[in-house]
Amino acid sequence: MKYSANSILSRTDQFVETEIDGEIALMNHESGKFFTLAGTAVRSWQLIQNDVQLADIVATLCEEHDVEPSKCLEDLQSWLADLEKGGLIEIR
Amino acid sequence: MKQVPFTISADLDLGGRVEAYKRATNADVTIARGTVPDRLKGDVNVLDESCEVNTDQIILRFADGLRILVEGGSRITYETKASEAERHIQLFLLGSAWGALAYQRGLLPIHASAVIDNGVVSAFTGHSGAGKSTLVAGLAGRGRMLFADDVLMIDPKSLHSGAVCYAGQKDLKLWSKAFDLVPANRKSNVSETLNLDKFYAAVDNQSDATVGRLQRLFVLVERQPGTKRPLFEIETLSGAESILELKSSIYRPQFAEAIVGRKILYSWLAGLVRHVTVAAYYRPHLAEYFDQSVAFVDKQL
Repeated sequence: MKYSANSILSRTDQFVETEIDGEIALMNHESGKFFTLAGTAVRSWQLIQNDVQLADIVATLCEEHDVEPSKCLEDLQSWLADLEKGGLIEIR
Repeated sequence: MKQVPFTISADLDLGGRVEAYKRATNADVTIARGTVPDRLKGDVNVLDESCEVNTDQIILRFADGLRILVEGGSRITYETKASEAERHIQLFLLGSAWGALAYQRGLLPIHASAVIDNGVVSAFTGHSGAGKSTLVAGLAGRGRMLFADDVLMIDPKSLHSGAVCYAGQKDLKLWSKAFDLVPANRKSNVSETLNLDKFYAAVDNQSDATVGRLQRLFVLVERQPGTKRPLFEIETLSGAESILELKSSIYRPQFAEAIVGRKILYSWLAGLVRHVTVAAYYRPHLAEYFDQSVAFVDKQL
């Protein structure tokens, strides 16, 4: 897996965010690309703050959704990759 | 609430489309014949052969030699052959130059035509030729009050409490064939120079209001033959879809990005989407269905 529980996540400052009808729109003003988040992705996004450890996000999601940590971490992989590729988060 | 977002004085006849904006003296914006430089100086963003922008100015060039310089949100200079008909110059002054001026003044122009009821504006957007003007003319024929044709200007400063919008221009522009469908009075050709089959038009139910609050934006979509969709259908869009449609409805979007920048533009869209319900209006875009289409929308307003 590309991202481990020890990965540190931060939001970039390249986007404008707005929440509408329970969905989140993220507009990257560097690339001009728009992203939308709905359902559980909204909650996952809310948990990504500056310098947050992926393990903490996984722990919260597991608690809220009754899912195994390893499965949760696996499920987040491609989504995090999309966010990173879209210039919305930095991961180190 | 101001009645117009800015005032103008001009050394040529601008027709009746922007009557409310006109002032004899002390206007916010001056429009005058003069010399337009070949090129801008400083950090210039060349959008294409017809347009270049720097932080404070934009030059627009048109195929017939007409050139327009819009600067500082306060001055429009046009340069052209002396023989050029004023109506031809007017068409571009009140089109692309008007859009550039709006951005320089911190306004967000939306490509839409609209009706108004008790200060509430319902607008119709869509690609060129989608039928925006003809639809609002049809609604005016059913008693709705025409608010604006082609362009609405949103005041982003209002977006903390609503979407205050100003009528860009009042007279309709209709293709010749549209006069068979709607009870509009044909006026002059929009440009004799370009030989367009498009005319300025007036309807009886034309509101005097120049400002209102935008609450609904309908995106005109042609219903594809053979689909299971009802003949006429209005589908309210999700928040995320709404913001994409709002982005698509921006007037001269390349100017927006060059003049105000994406960061500000996107923050305006984020504010706008909180106040405006966006819906797609699917209907057959055929003359034989026009009356039914107008009646259908009329019931939804």
